[in-house]
Amino acid sequence: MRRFIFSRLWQTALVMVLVSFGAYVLIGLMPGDPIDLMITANPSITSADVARLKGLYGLDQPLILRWLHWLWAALNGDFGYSRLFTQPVTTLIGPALVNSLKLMLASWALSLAIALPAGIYAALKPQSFRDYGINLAAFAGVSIPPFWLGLVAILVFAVTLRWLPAGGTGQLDNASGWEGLRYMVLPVATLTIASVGSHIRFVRGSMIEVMRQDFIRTARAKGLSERGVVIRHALRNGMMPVVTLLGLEFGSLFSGALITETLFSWPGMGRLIYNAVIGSDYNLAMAGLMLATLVTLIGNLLADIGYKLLDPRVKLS
Amino acid sequence: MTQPQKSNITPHSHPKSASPWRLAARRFSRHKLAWISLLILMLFAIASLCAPLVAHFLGTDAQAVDLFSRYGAPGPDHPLGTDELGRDVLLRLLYGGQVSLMVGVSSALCAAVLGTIIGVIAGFRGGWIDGFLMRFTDGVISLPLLPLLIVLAAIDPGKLGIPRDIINGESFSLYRIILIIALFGWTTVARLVRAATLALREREFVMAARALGGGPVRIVMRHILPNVVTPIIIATTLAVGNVILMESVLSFLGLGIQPPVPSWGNMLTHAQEFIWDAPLLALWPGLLIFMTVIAVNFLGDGLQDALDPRADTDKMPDAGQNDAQAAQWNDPRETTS
Repeated sequence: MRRFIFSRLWQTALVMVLVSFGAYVLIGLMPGDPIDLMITANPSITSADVARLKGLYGLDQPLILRWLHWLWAALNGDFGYSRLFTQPVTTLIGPALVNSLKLMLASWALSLAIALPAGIYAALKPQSFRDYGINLAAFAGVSIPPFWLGLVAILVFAVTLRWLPAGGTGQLDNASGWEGLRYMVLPVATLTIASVGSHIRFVRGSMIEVMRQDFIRTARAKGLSERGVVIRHALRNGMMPVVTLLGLEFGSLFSGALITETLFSWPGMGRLIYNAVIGSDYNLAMAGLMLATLVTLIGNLLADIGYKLLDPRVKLS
Repeated sequence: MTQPQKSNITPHSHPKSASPWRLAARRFSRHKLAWISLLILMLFAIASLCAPLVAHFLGTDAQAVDLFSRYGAPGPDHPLGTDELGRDVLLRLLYGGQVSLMVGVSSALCAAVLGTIIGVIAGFRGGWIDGFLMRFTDGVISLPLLPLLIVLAAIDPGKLGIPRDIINGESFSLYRIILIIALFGWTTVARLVRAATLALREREFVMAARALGGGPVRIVMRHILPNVVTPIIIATTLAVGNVILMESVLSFLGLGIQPPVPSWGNMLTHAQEFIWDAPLLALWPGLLIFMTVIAVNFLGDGLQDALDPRADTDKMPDAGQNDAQAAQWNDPRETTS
């Protein structure tokens, strides 16, 4: 177990370094480097100034050296300044992380609270009317474009009915406590609907698989009530793949929901990354991407460890 | 080679036996939702191919701007009204359908080809090649998809040395998005194909082919690929839905299909601004995306029931046999929220 975790941590570090190089190259390929933007902003800039600025920012050096320099600084906790927000990147990421976490945790909990009972309920009678209905709803949830769902939610609840705010966190209006929660309703609902479909299908699939196992037949044969079979034998085993799913989605708790946050002007990680990429804010985009990658990789590792802890049959390689 | 006995059996000697494909077709025909979905998809495809015809009858085209009739109400000239630049909404939806369906199908096909090649090489060669390719696949799967897609879509192809006149061409953004999505979409197919290839490699008919002196290319083409085509078809069909969603997300963010070429995604780019003036404009494209994606998913589900041979084993009479594998086909990652 310990060996497994160590080797996986090494792998994670390797992937991080590779991704950071890939992202560094890609971000360098985005249109308009910082100097270009300064030239457009200031027509009286001379070519000598440009050369001096390029030297100052290190843009005259080869790509690989620039990346190594970035990597070294990043490993020492220095992610540089954000060009868009004129603040150190590290001070921007903290609040964004908290905001994303609020949004994602709420929708995660809500989605699971719906998906677990619905998926189990459907799986207990496959091909029945109720299974059909739940499956249909799950398919609809998987197929709906989340940004459009958010738009329709804004259209109905903010524009037409005027029940809920269309976006923001309410901090500007000094909304606090319960008033502030109203700002979360639409984004959380959108995220929940967008994820509940795949959750239901996952829970249902794993429960159907378990209900077909021999030990379920044995439990029934020894005279256990159906309720007892489900609660004592099926649930425990059926929930193991769900743990994997949670691990795989763990990363999104921190990396946020890019579309939904952008749509509802929710200042989380997803929106921060989007703004950084669109506004060619190299340092911020790099930091955001690396953070998103790191939390995703950690989530995958947690999923494997959790799976191993819950199911002794699983061998880790 | 896979069924050598077939050649000496005349159809009359076994009147009740049917070919696997016919059995599959029979199972598929029982799947009502899949049939309806197929009809809807064909309807959408035919309708969007007829876009030039509709344009001819309406006497306008999808890019004709008319600033005097912005947000026009539905009428005889414009059956679904006009958009924020006075362009005909119906025509733009039809042309957008061409783009969205084209991107969906071609990107899924590209991803399937890529995934099949990687999966077959990994499964057939084994050893360190397999280890390397599967580590690589795991790495790609564990990346945060949407942020990376956005970075890829935002890069300036001019800096890669692609000539400007190609970049400024109308269909460049089309090819680009097909390529970008395919670059990340091959992993499911690669894993399925590798697993199937690993199992097939040890089967008797493959060993027989090898003993007869068949080279690796021949064995892969004649014996492995025909037997892994089923999971590829299912995974690719389901991928089409995901690709259409991704294309619409990227286009919505302004990073996918570039205006003036319409796509269902980029028609919604400014929806948030005109939602007060013309709420219906925000409704149509999203509804079409939704209907297309759900139809594709039902179709994939029906194909899965029909094609997967495990579906008709009498071991488990209750259907839903394959539902446990749904997780295998559907990527559990939330890619587009």
